[in-house]
Amino acid sequence: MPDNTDQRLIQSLARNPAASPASSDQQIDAEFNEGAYLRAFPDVALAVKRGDMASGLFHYASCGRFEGRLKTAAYLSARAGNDTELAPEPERRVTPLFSIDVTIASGSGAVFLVGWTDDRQDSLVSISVVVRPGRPCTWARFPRLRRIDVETVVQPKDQYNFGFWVFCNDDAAPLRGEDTECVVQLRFAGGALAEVRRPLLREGNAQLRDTVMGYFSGIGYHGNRSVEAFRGLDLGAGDALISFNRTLSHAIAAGAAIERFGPDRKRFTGSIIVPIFGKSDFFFLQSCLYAGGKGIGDYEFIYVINSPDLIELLLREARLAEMIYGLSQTLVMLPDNLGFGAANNLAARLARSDRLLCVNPDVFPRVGDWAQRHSDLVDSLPAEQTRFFGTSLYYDDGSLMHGGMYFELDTGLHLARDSIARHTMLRVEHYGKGAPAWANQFVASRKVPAVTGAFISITREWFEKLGGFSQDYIFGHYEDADLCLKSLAKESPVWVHDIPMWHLEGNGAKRLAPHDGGALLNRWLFSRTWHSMIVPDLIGPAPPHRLLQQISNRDEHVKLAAEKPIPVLVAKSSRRLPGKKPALIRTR
Amino acid sequence: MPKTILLLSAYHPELLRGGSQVVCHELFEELQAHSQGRCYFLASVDDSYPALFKSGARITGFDGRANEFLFLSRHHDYWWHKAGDPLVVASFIEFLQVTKPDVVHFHHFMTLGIDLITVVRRVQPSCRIIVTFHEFLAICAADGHMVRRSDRSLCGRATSVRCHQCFPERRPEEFFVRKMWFMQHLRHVDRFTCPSRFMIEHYVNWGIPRDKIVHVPNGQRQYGPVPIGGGGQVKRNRFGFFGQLHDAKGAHIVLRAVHSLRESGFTDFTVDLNGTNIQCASPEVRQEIETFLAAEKKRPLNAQNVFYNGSYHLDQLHTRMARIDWCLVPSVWWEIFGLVISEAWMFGKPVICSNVGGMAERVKDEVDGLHFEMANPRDLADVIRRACTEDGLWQKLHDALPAYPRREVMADNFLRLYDDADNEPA
Repeated sequence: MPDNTDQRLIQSLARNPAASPASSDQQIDAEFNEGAYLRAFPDVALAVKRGDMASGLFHYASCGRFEGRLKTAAYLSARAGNDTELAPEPERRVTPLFSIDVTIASGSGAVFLVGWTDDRQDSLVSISVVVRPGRPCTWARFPRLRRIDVETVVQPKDQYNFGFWVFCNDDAAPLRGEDTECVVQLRFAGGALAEVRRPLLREGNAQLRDTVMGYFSGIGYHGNRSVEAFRGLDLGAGDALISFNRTLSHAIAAGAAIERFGPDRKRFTGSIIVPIFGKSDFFFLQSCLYAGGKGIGDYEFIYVINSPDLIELLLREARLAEMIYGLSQTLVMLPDNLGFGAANNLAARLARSDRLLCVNPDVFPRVGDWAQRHSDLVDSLPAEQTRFFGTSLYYDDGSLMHGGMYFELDTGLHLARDSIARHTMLRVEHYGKGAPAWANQFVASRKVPAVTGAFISITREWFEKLGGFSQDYIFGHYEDADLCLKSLAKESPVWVHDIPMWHLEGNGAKRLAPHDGGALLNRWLFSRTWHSMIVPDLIGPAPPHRLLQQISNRDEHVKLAAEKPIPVLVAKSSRRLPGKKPALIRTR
Repeated sequence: MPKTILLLSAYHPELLRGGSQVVCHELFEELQAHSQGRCYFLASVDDSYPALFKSGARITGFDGRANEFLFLSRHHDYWWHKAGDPLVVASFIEFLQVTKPDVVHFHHFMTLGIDLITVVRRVQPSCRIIVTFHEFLAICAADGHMVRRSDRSLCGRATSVRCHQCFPERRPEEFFVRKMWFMQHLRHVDRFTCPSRFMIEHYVNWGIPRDKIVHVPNGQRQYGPVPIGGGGQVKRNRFGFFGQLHDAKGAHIVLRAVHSLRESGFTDFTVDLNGTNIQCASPEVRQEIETFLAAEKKRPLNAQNVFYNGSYHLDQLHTRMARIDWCLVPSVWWEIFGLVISEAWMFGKPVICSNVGGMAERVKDEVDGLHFEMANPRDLADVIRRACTEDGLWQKLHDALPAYPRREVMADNFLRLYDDADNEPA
């Protein structure tokens, strides 16, 4: 098992002790002999024969060693009578060692399977799960991964990915239903077929998504983690997860319930949309810190609660906020975590204004009249500058957190047996991250490649024309940049304007292992989706893309084609591409 | 024009003794007696008195008294000091609408909710809001003491990182947003008051505008007959501690000083401990006090130096004070005001106190009392020995004792604040 296996998977394994992985801190004793072991211990032989246990070696490695079975009279006797048979059993040469750790299916037919095999001599070519005879689900492409526990036992001389995992989302698959047992078949290139009967654990769709994403976040690899993870997703698992999550999102959104609090109006100047996950405090903090500011009465708040366990508490808080702050607030209550993009899309449909402000729960106004400033800015600037914009965000220590985003390209290598393959992956960086508050160049009104989803202001019309946030991204990360690029692709770059806000980045939601898995998958999806558009025209803090060449003078917002160049400092954390200019870049 | 005044107190002093509620109730009694308008006293009570929670009620009367009410606190959030129950807030709004106060004076927000300040501003927009700080709870999440949890040293300034060091499990950002939360509510306040001048600097440094915060000393009534003169006693070797027996009040420092004196062979003195709430002490300090007192009881009577008298009512204060010559105030935090200092002065007892905060501000070292280094039992032992042995010292300090702050003066000061923002207390 990977070191950081999701707790849920561990629980699954606990429910299924026969699937325990190989022990991780031992070597195989020289005295071990498979044939003698099976003859000495009929219980083990029976388990292997039934398929409950991969082999005698597996049993020995996982528990027999600790029971001291090689010292028992039965084993010594069996071994003494078979000194001439110390060579491995013929079957062991034919069928590589393997184990299926867990098989989980959802009611809709999605299946998740984790296992390992020592197929160095005879490659694993397909995996099948059979619930009903004659209707196997078979996969010939599946990610491989590192299994440190197996390595500890088999002591390979070279790096080898013994592990594998499968995720398949096929709602027509025969795995739908309530069956609780299945047969897993492994076929090897040499023709061997290994078969084992396994419990088929059942989880709800959302739970299975979380299990898989949590597992994915903790997988270990030989080589570059991101490259190897991306390669695994390329084998179909990525698309299967996206498709599964999309279906799941529809179901979650369909289960939404809505309650409105505070002053009721038919129309507002803007609708502030805030997804909440895992932390409730930010609801009353935002209620308090946004309330009372000049112009805030013209805005409504729509909170999308992605954590069902918080609904009761937030309903109470909303009743309190109604009395204490008098804001217009709508709670959209969901039966499970819809994720950032889909939650915003759902709230946008409920908005009672033509202006959507997508705001993270940990974003707070830095100035009391921010709402008025926002309204004035939208009213006074040309439409193309306010159609879609972000703003300056600051850390609690006063340094800049965000003044727009740009893209960088990472390169990683995949080392195959006979070759080295180069892979590229996109990364999002923030202008001026950590810069002192007086570094105005990062917050000057200007066009940028992208803005963070922590604060987005966009006309509803444009949001809808862009199709809203992509719902292919799981949980959160990268859908903000995705939306910005959709806008750029439609010839309307996003802007940054300076309505300073605090952003307690990373504090707004509870982050768990599945969310790390989602972030990794989302980066893969983002790279695959936008690579051709971003490389090379949108790479770096001063990208040469034609629509980003004109940066307005910060003192003359209206003027699109600025006469004077504005210096753009590169954030200290950003990586420079070879051949690019050093720290201070002048751009037009 | 007569005004209607609502005083809000954390706890009723007759249900739970504590400085802020005592002062608030003193003010209430004085305003009841002498102001021309109406005055209401609304004190919170928590689940330590479940019998007072009448079914379905959120605000009730108190023991048949006119104009005294209980705020039945539920779901209070002690981190954010936030009202937690919509029904309680709804009842508070209704209470405001019924009483229609011209002035709402918060003597605390714990168990009430700092957000009730915003409620008052919304419900009674023209109402004058006064907040009296009785400690640093808005600034400091560590019980409002501004004592570093790492080494118990006094803290001079709260910042996100420094507060995070006291609460490593919480990120610095939480303290940043905590301050914003408090400030957002406190911006509705017309005037802040502090009973000690040194507190004002802390609050100004924290962000309260200097022109909005003023000094109004806590006042009290006379709790018993005033002793006449200094008496003809020769020895002045009887010391008294009055207060709660938790860590901050420093009773354990006194006991360590006693131990030190005994070790040095000096035993011609007595110490009376008067107080309760040892259950609020840390386990270590509680054990130290209880172990000391248990051992003390086992000593022969003539070898005992420390006598524990238990809790006391204010009506008993003069008899307790009559048994001592010196009042010890060994607090190991800033000690905002130290009502016990006023009470000692009330009964003509010079004070020996820690050399910090409200104690150092009020007691003038070598003039009307003596200081010792805070939390230093050996220094306290030296001062005690000197107090017992130096001829004329007690009389000199006694003769210089200031008058204790009287509650009618306090009420006058507050009435000026209630009337006019620019009419500073004298």
